[in-house]
Amino acid sequence: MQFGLQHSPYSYPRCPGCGLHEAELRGSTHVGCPLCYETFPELIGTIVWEHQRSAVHHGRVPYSPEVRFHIRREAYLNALEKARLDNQQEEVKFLTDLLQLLDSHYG
Amino acid sequence: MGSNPLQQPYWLRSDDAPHDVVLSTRYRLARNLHGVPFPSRADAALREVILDRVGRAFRYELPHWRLVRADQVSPLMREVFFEKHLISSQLKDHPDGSMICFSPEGRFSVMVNEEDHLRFQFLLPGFQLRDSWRELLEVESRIERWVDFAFHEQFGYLTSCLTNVGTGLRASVMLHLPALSWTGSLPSTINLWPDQAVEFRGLFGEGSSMNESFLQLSNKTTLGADLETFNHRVLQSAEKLIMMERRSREQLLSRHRLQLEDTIFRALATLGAARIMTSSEATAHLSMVRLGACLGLLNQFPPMTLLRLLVGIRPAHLQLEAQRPLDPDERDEWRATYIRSQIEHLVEDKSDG
Repeated sequence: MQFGLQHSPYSYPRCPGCGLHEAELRGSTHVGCPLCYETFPELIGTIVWEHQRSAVHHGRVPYSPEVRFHIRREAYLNALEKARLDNQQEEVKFLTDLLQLLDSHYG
Repeated sequence: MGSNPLQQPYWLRSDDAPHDVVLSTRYRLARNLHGVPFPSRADAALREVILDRVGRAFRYELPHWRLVRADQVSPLMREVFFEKHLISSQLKDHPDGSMICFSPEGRFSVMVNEEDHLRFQFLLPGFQLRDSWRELLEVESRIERWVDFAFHEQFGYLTSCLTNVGTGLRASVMLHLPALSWTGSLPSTINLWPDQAVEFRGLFGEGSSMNESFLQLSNKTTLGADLETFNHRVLQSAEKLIMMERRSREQLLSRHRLQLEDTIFRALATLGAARIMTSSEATAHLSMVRLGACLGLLNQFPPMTLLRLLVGIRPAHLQLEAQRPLDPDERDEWRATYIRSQIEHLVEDKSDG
């Protein structure tokens, strides 16, 4: 019998997003990052069920990617205009880069 | 930057929704940024990145809000914000890399890098559980223009604590139940409450004492139903408790009027004469005076003024008034003096009128 080895917390999987060990999650209600939910879906589903008596979300959802793109682009353009009017050069550059990134990602 | 966080928040300032049982209504919405470790797992540099991203969203979308770094606020002021229910106990005690955002009119506050990246709070006076949560969602939508929220098809909006996942919404009311407390039926009422979807906490939320006549009622779960349903469950329980408290008040008036009046006027006399007063003693007496005011026995004491007094006697508020640190004995003395002056002021106002 190999004492200890099979019980080492390092033998449990860990979240690639924050490093949380499955062993840390057992007996806890706290996770470290959004990716934990993808890494430990079954264990989290069990804990969530224990506390909430449900494991399925209903109702409000974030903007769809298409709506998000249009709303965000409008927000960035408005901010860019304001930054130009206020002569905030660094902010203008930052927002211009942000717009380019958005367009390349969604456009 | 229009708002002044030092001004009285809306729920303590406005007289537009006075209620005999419900002191205030609060909505709290937890949200996190997509792909970013939650604050408990974020190092100092990452917390700064989060503050920068969220701060930019607030500056462009809600330019009249006041953004305050929690770690640049004195411990006393954080305690004052906590006593006004604007921030949580956690943010008060762990301010590093955190921020508080205040709306100009003092109805909203948002904690950044508390347990979650964003904790939106909407605080209203009286009983306003109907549709007011929709206003909170408008603020959330403005911020979502700039940041992606962490969301999962099955679990909904992702949060640091699994008890908040789903809608992330906590609807709560702060209740004043002196008649149920006085008759001794409050503990059993709470313990045997039939709706398991709601829970009771003390005046200052999780971990605070429930041995007074003030308590908070909120939804216990956040997953498995939509926002309207959770809100409705709290509303239903609150309405039931309000009815029970009112019935209990009526019974006390009809069956034990003399004893009730004696207790209320003794409480007032003590508040108006005492030279030393602890926080719990003052709270208990003010609770009875507020009951007297709501029953029409003490018309010179507006319930909202008494509510402000209840907050004003807390340790940080007293130290702010004194403009120096006070040890517990000094606080008890200051508290008694402060209450006496407020009571005298109210009585003089009434006789002048």
